Amino acid sequence: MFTPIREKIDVLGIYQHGVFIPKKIKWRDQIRLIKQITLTSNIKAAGVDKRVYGVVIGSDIYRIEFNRLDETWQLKEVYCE
Amino acid sequence: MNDSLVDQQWLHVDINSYFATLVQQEVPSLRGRPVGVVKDVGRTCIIAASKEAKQLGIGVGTRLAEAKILCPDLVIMPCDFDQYLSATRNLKQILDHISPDVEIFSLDESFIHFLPLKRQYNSAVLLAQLIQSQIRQVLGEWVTCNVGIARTRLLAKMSGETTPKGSVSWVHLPDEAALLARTKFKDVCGVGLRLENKLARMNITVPYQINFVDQQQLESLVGVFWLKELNKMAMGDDPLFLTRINDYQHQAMKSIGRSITGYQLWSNTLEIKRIIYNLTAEVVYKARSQQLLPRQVSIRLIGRDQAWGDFQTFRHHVFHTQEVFNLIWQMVLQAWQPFPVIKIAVRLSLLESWQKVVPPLWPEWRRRERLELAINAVTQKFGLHTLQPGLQLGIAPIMPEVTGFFGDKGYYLGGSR
Repeated sequence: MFTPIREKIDVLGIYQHGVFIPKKIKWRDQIRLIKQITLTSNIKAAGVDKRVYGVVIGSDIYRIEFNRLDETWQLKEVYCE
Repeated sequence: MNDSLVDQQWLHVDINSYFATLVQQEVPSLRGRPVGVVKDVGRTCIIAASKEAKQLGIGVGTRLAEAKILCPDLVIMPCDFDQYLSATRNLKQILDHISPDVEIFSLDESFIHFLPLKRQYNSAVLLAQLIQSQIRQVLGEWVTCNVGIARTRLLAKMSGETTPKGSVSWVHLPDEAALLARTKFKDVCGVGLRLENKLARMNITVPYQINFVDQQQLESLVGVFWLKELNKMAMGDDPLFLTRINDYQHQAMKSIGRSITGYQLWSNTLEIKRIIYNLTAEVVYKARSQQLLPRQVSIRLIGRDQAWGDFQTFRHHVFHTQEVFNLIWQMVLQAWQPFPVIKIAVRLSLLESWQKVVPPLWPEWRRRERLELAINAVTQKFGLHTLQPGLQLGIAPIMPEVTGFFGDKGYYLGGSR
């Protein structure tokens, strides 16, 4: 099940064929490499368009979220079994 | 028409175990393991199961306790409707690039008419394989789909649903009878449990048998409408509802409903009132955002072993949330003999475009309309239930959700949301 974290992060990525692909995140002053993007979803929450990425970092799965209105990133949730 | 094309007119694309597959796609450690999806944390009914769970006998509707006995290692995940809707939009985008004439049947199923694409793709099997690879590319490598190819939508769907996961199946003309003779009615799209049970009384269990039964006896059992539809199915032809999938694009919805099933029985009248208001606000917003106005409102309350429902039809149209809610609540107060409730459903019917309706001129009505327009503007920008009446203060609103059947695709895909 996903457990909320909801902390601001910085994200470094590249554009490939016009699509942004996150590659690294900076969370609590630590830079972590995104190994794989497992799922991308475009959602609308309270009128704000957001893009949610399921990502594999190390051996964990996180959800990171890009708020398309204020252009900020958030480490939204971590998967714990 | 070229004979070789007769049996490859329609493609049916069906993502395997949609909700559970998307969960497994997002969380790689769950791939290959039995996964059950429930509506929310704490819910006890499985609404989707992964293919591994299905092999163990766990399916839609299995109780959690029962599922845990069948498979103690079952992983339970709450569903995420926003994610599924996003994936469906991606799926629609993939298919729209392939054909201008895609019919979105449900959240994870679509039909594609192959004949207009013949020149471009040469063979339906090649197109099916292209679709499978594009779905894997966009939605993820774990997401597989079945593609059925046949003369009609019905046969394509039946074929896709009775073949192994991730396969492409083609029903050639000589094989149609065999497919119709081996597919049980419970696996035939459009035939519900009641109709299946009625047919069982005549020992009819598969569509092909319809060709050989006494038609008068069948008519007295199922009525004129189903007699005609069942005869079409028996020949492998599309029943009426499969020919009207894209009607939502050019024909307004006729009714909009919303129901909620609780975790536990609701006995508190105030709580029931708040839920009814919440559901009413959602259906009225959905209707208004599609410029539709109802002339009929209905309510249904279902308990453990009791049920009550009522409806009212008007000569005039009903415009506002508060107005609809007052009408429903009046019906409840007048006729409902209180009992603990587990399911609440509200429905707006006899919907008509508001362009055909002359709005009333009373100052009070205009004031209410201005208020409704203001609330709608806020809702459009910030989402449903951003503005709440005092009745709803202090409680978490019930947010809209999509269903697998995707009955309100006109609202979700039509750009109203």
